[in-house]
Amino acid sequence: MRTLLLTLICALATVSTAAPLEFSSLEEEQRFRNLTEDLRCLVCQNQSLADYGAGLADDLKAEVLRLIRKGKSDEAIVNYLVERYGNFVRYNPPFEGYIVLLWVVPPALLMLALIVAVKIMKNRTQLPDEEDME
Amino acid sequence: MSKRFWMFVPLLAFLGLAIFLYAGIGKDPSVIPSPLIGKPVPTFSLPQLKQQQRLVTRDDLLGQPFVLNVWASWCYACRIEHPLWNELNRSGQFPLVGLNWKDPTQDALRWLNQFGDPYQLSIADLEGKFAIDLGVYGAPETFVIDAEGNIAFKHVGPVNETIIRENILPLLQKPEGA
Repeated sequence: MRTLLLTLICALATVSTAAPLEFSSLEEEQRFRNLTEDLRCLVCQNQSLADYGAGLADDLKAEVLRLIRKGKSDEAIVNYLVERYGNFVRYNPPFEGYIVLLWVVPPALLMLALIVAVKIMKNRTQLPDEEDME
Repeated sequence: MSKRFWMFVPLLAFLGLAIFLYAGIGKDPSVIPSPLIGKPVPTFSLPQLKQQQRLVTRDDLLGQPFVLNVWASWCYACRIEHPLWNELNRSGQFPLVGLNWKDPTQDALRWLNQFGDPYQLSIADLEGKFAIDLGVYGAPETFVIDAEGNIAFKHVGPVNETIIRENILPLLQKPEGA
């Protein structure tokens, strides 16, 4: 019973205690949601800013709203955060730099494996010839 | 191409991949590298923790290399590294500036009384704006700022003696303009 109570308390402790943000228009709220769903919560790291309410996430969400109200474009807002936290803050990272490797290398390795497998199988079904006698 | 060559390709590919992956072992994937290394410390104007009517700005800190340590009374890991700062400051000369992050002042002052105050001065960032400009995402974090005000080094998490010896102290010894 005690552990159950403790777990409950811990779970509740992670809920954001900040006042919910108030939006001045539906458009503003929509822009806010779009942006925060594409930005990473740096504390929990596998969730977007929109999902979680850690203290820093609240601060960053407030920043995003502040910049929206200042009239900054979506791109400018994302760049503002990337300048400070690097590309990792983008929940959907851009296709550039070493990230390209991440996408390209596995299929390339697979292709290579297939080519090699085919070559080796072809060699086995051939009769031995002079090349193999070296 | 000889047929033997193709038999070695899987081995070579494996070795290449193994080397690449081995290089990543031991690295903490949750640590985010800072894009601010080499860039100037962002401008700010914040009150001193212990004398809040006095403001500190970026220009006040230029002129010699120093360590900026992000701490807070609610940060448990800060207590783990704190004795190291106390030790370094035993002679009272270590250039350590504290950035008190999102911390009610009374809690912060109480914490310093309890655990020791090795900071030449602590800056109160109650709203956390300056911390965001620095790319802070957790406490403790430690920066080394060079004499011109550029960020030379950043460490996320508690420091240990190795990091102090190998990363922090050498940067503090660099003369201006080096």
